[in-house]
Amino acid sequence: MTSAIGFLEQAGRNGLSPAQYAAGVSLLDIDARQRQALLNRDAATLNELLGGRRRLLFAILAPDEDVGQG
Amino acid sequence: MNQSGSLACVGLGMMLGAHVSPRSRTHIERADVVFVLVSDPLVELWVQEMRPDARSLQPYYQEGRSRLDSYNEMVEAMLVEIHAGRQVCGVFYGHPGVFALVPHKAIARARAEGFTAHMEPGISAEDCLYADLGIDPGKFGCQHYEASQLMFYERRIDPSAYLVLWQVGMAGDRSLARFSTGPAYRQLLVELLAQDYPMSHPVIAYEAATLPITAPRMDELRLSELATADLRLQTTLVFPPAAPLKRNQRMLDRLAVLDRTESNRAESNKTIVDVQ
Repeated sequence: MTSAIGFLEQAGRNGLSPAQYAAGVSLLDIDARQRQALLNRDAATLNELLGGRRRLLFAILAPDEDVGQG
Repeated sequence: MNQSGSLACVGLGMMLGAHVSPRSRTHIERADVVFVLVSDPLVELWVQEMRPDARSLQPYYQEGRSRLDSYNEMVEAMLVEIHAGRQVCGVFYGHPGVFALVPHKAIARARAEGFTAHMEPGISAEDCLYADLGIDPGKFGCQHYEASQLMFYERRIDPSAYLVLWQVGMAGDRSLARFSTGPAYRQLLVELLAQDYPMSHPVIAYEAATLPITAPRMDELRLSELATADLRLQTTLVFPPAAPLKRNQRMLDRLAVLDRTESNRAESNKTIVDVQ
């Protein structure tokens, strides 16, 4: 596997034990900093290394479609 | 207009890789056009690995502008592709039909215009909450409110059931143009809730895990601490019941009378059959 995201998908799907997780990370053909971020379970650093968005907005419900006033 | 266009709004679930259904994945892989709105940047990258051409709906959000305008533009963006005869997939975090205006509106619009449109359910934050907190909503009943809506309207809270409040990080925002409100707004929410709960009542600040490398947030607070607590866009508040279930003796008495009547009627029918 060559992708940190692909590994996260596998970890999410299979629910890896800590030992399986560490072994899986060691087998990845990825940048050393990405590997360390995965080992540290450091999502923020991993996101930065992979070029993900710094900020996401995601609320998709309005409490009242008739309010909307300042 | 080409009526061959269609829409599928699918849920990814909350955790990357863990919750997506086979049907949702198939829609993502096979659609002509994929739009995506998720709650974690690594999850967005995951969708982009599945579909490098996926279009994020993020650019439609803008601080200081009503979210209703953003939502309408998101719906319109999907409709434009449907009108062009394309198979469109809207990918949303959690369940696309739970606390989610955009998928519901897009599907309603598409259907009203004669297009095929449907929703594929996903594992929502609510589902994760029950699993992580060990709550069964059927045990005492469970009320769910969007926090601002609870403030804007006169509602009746039942303190003998669970209470779950969503979007508390922006509670009290009437402009729909902010993604967070401050302690003064939350203090009003606290005062509203204090009509039904003691200030010492426990409250759980919950956030579902979105990655297999993170844990859910499950911080226990007191109602009195809510105004200054760290409540974010993704934080949900869970209030355990504050009062025991109270039996409705009048209804139980009426049911008992009904039981006796039914029993007597059955007995009479049996007697008639025996005589015949």
